[in-house]
Amino acid sequence: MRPIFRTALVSTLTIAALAAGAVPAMASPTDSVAGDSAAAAPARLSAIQASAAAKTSARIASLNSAIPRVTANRALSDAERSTILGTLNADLAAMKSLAAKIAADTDAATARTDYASIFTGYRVYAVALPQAHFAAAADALTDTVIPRLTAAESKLAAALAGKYASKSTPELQAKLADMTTQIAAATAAADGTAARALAVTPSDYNANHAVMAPIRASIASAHAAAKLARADAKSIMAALK
Amino acid sequence: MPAARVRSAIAAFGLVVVLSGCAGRPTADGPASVPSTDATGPASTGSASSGPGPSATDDLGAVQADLDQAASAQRQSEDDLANGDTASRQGDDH
Repeated sequence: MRPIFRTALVSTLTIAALAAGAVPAMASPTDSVAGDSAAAAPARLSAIQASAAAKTSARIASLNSAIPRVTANRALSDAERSTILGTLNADLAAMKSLAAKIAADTDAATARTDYASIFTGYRVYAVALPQAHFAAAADALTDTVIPRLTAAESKLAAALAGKYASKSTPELQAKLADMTTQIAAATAAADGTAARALAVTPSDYNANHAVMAPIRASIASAHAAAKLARADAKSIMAALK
Repeated sequence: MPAARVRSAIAAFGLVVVLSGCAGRPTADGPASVPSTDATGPASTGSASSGPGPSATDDLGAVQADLDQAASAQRQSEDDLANGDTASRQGDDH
C-alpha cells in the first residue's frame, strides 16, 4: 500500500472508532450527547458509570478524611465549624447518592447529566474542601496570630519606653514601628477572610473558576506580614537580652 | 413595753451605730488596706543606671511566650492553607 493510502486508512479508522465510542472522552464530562447513536450509548454508559464510581469514591474518601479534621480544628469558631461540617456532610451524602444513581442509570444522557453534577453541583475539591481549610487558616490568624503579635508589640513598646529605655536605639524603634505596620497589614488582609471563604458556592465557582484565588492570596499576604512582624520582634528581643 | 425601756434600747442601738461608724472611718492617711509606698518597698521601675531587674526579664519572657504562641498558630494556619491548596489540585473538576 502506498504511504498516502495507509495514512488515509488509519485516519478513517480512527474517526470511526471515536464515533463509535471506543475511546470514551471522560476527561470532558460535559461533552454533547447529540452524537450518541443507539449502538454507542451502552458502551458509553458503562464508561460513564465506571468513571463516576471513581470520582465519587475519591470525593467520599476525601470528605471522610476532612470531616474529623475539621471537627478537631481548634482554630475554627463553633459557628464556622458548624457551617463547614454542614456543607461537608451534605456533600458526602450527595456523593453517595449520586454514585448509586449513576450506577443505576440506564441511558447515557441521564448518566452524563448526573456525572456532570458530581462536579458542577458540589465542587468538593474546588470549593468545599479549600474553603474549609482557608477559613481555618484565616481564623488562626485573626484569633491567635495577630492578637499574640499585638500583645508582644505592646509589651516591647512598653519595655523600650521603660525598663529598657537605655537600650532603645533608632534602629529598634524602627523595628517596632515596622512591627506595628506589619500587624496592621496582616489584620487588613485576614479580617473577614474566613467569612469570604465560606460564602463561596459551587455556582460562584462555576461562573468564575478564579473565585477562590483572592481569598487564598489574602491569607498568604497575612502570613507574610505576620512573619515580618515576628522577625521584627525577634530582632528587638535579641537586642534587649 | 414601758417607755423607759424603749428609750434605753434606742440609746443602746445609737451607741452601737456611732461606735461602728468610728471604727470604719478612714484616717487622713488613707485606708489601712492600701500599703503606702516608701523607700523600703521594691522599685516598680528600674533606673537606667541599675539596668533591668528581674521583672524586666519576666517581661521579655512574656513577650517570648506571645511570639511562641503566634508562631505555633501561624504554622497551623500555613498547614491549613497548604491543605486547601492540596484539595484544589486534587480535583479534576476545573
